Amino acid sequence: MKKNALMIIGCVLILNVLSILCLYSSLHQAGEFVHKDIFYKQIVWIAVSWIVVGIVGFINYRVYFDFSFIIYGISLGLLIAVKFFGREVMGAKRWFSFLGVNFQPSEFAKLAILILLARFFWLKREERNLFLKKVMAPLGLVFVSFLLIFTQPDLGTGLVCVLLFFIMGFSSRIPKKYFFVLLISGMILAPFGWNVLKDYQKKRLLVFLNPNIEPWGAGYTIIQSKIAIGSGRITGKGFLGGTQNQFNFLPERHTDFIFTVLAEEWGFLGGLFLVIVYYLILRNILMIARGAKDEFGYFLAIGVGSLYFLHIFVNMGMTMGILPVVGIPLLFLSYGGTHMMMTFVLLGIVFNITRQQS
Amino acid sequence: MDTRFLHRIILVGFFILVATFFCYQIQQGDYYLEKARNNYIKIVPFPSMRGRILDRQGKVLAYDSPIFTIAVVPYQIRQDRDTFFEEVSQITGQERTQIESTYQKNFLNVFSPVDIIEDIPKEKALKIKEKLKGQVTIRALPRRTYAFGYEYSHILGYVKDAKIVYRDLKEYGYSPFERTGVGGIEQYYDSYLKGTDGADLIEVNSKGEMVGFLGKTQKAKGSDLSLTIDSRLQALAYECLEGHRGVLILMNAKNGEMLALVSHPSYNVNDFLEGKHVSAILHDRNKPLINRAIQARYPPGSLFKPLLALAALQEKEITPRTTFFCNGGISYGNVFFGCTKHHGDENIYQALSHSCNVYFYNIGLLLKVEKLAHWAKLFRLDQECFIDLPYEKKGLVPDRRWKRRKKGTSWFGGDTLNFSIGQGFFEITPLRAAVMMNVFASGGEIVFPHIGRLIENTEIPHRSSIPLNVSPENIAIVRQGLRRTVSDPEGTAHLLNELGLKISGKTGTAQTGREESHGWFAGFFPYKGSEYTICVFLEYGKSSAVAVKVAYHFLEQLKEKDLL
Repeated sequence: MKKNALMIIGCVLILNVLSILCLYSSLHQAGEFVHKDIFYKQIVWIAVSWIVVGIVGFINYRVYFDFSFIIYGISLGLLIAVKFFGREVMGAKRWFSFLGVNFQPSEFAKLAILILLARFFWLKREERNLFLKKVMAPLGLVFVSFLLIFTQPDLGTGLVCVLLFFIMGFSSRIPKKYFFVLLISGMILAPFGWNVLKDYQKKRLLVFLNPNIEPWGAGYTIIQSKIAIGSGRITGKGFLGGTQNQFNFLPERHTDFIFTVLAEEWGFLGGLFLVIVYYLILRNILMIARGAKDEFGYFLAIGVGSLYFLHIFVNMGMTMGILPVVGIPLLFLSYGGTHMMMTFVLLGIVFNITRQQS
Repeated sequence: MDTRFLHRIILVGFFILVATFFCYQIQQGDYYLEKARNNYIKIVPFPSMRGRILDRQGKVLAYDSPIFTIAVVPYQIRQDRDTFFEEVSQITGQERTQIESTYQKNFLNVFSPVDIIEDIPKEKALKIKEKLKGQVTIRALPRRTYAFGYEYSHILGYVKDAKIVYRDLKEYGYSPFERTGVGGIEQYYDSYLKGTDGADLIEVNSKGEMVGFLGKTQKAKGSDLSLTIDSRLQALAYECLEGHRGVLILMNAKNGEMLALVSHPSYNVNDFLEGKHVSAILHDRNKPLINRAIQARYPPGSLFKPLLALAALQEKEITPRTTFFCNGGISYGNVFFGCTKHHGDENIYQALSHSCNVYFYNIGLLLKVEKLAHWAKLFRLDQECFIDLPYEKKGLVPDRRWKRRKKGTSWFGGDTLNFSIGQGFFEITPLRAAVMMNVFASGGEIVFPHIGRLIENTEIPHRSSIPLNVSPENIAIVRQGLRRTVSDPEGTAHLLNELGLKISGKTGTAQTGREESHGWFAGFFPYKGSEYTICVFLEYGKSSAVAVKVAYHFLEQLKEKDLL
């Protein structure tokens, strides 16, 4: 089973290199290196993250079972605290600022929900009232976190939490019909949620349906991103050669739109390579899940795989305009400390699951 | 343990992703490449004009005027930065370090113009542009200018760049021009005044040069705002407060329109915005930045007495014929509570016009603290006036519960005595004092004072007055007492009688624990069908006599110049 872990390590190292290259390029404007600080910060974050993987890899994953509710409680506490003490950026309160480092509680909330769901979906014995105890109860808890994150406002992360619930649910031994019923009723109720959305969120959804309604407002990003990706063609424009990137046409390109930089400069081949590397990581996580010692480990690994997948799919989908722009970073590639750290913590958990097997 | 479900989802998801960028990059790759080559869209924002602020006669108080700047597009600087700045420095005669620091301050991104020299005369700007051939551009930006440096600083506030708001967006070329009102009318009516910034949508080539014009979003000028303030009265009020620390308010007694509202000392807002004397203003011990009319509160002293007289009449504790004997004070417990002199037997009219403390100590003891607080709250003394200015303070009306909670001791009889002459813990803002006096001018209504009158030509809706439901006879009794304060030769504000304006009012001297007391005068005129309410407050102004003098000077000139 060591083989799986080594495979993942190799792939992540490749992604680290790719991340540094893309970031280096995205921080240039017309050949001038602006924001050197962001570049160096990312390198430090990557280094620190590997240390974290080492540490988390040695923590027996079963402690998470015992502490699942405490961890969940802490995550709620942080989500509430950020509403009062968070730093406000563009009308959203998502971050704590501490000693120049920004911490995003919603990243931690995802981890907490993952552990919580792994505990709930583990059917140790025959149980009655499966629907209430094993489906509705965890859904209720997930919904509390969802509301807190959604009102930050951060619709994207909130929805990822809900989707995590469904993917893990469908991977459990709980009858699938329960989840189908929830999914369908959710879809019926969704239109009523429209009024709860903030204006800018509504706008993003409308613009997603038709970017041309606002070519230099909210639609600008999508149009420019599409042009950047498409113009990369098969082999790309070469490192530091992306005109869309270099001439400052892409907003948020070192965070949420890093894939656009990669696709413009490395073309279809670069994009395909990235997807293959991602696939290898996910495949190996699934293999680890299958070989897990108990069902809790299995669910943890499944949860990590789902979270990874959701981040990849939602982020790349939004840069290509097939999903609305919701501000989800790209796994292992985007600049962003908390996100990077959480990604690696999840990785550490997976590594521990393999350790326990052998 | 079944991983097939997730595996399938992953496969489908990744297939969709690859198919999508396959579609963009290979099927439509040439189309997008063409777009990327030809269609470099850039947004060049330009600022809108903020609405003007006018007084009630249409005189301009605040407006946007253009200033000229020399700007450079970083990307287009052909030579070495240092050489370039050196050259600019030589031509303009400005220090190189200063030019560089201005550049650093205004830098957005390498494609947007960066101001390197701010605010220079147009002719000079043109000359510099000529000499630096094509390397720099001239930009005209609006700057907020105030027609009067001092008189309106508190009520207008000022305008400042909202750059902070855009800290996280500016490198992407989002509008960094937006300005936002700070304090005063500029803040309160910001959304009407500010207008919408416009933007040019231009095409640039791969060198960042403009090659085409795609369109523009129109900028929209902000709305003009007319005030209820009369700039002649405002100027006069400011002049009369010269040499004092305090407030002068003149209000339309019928509807709460503010005709003059001055807090002295003030600061020169134009200097402040240009960064001149800023630290002197901030550290001035007279605190010129505070609008004392609404942001500071003081004990009202004897100004509270008319309210108390009305309360006692309404509660039927006294009649107009009730008298109390004043022998210079009363002893309560083992403390002596003094009066200004031996008044002898006083009825309500005499007590008001002489401002006899003993009379009101007795009323206070009859009413007790509960009723005192009740009536003060009925007059809304514990609330904001809801004037259309930000950061207004509430008043403080003490009672048993308040004292227990805040001071940790119970309410003593002496506290009641202090309360009944507007002293002790009791505090209100000067604006609230004017509104309190106005109740007697308007025959029993609490008005909501306001400064904004029109937005463009639309009247701004304000709250309508609250009737107090007190008997008109009782109001008339107190009014008579207030009239006698001026008309009676013994009255405390008799000085005002010779103006012939038929003024009624009340003086107040509030002890402060320091040597100097606060001086108050509040009144209204003419006696019948009162139209104006005036309130003068002098912080540590020695006594009410000084406040009456200030009111006298103000009203005298007002009458002389026929400004009403």
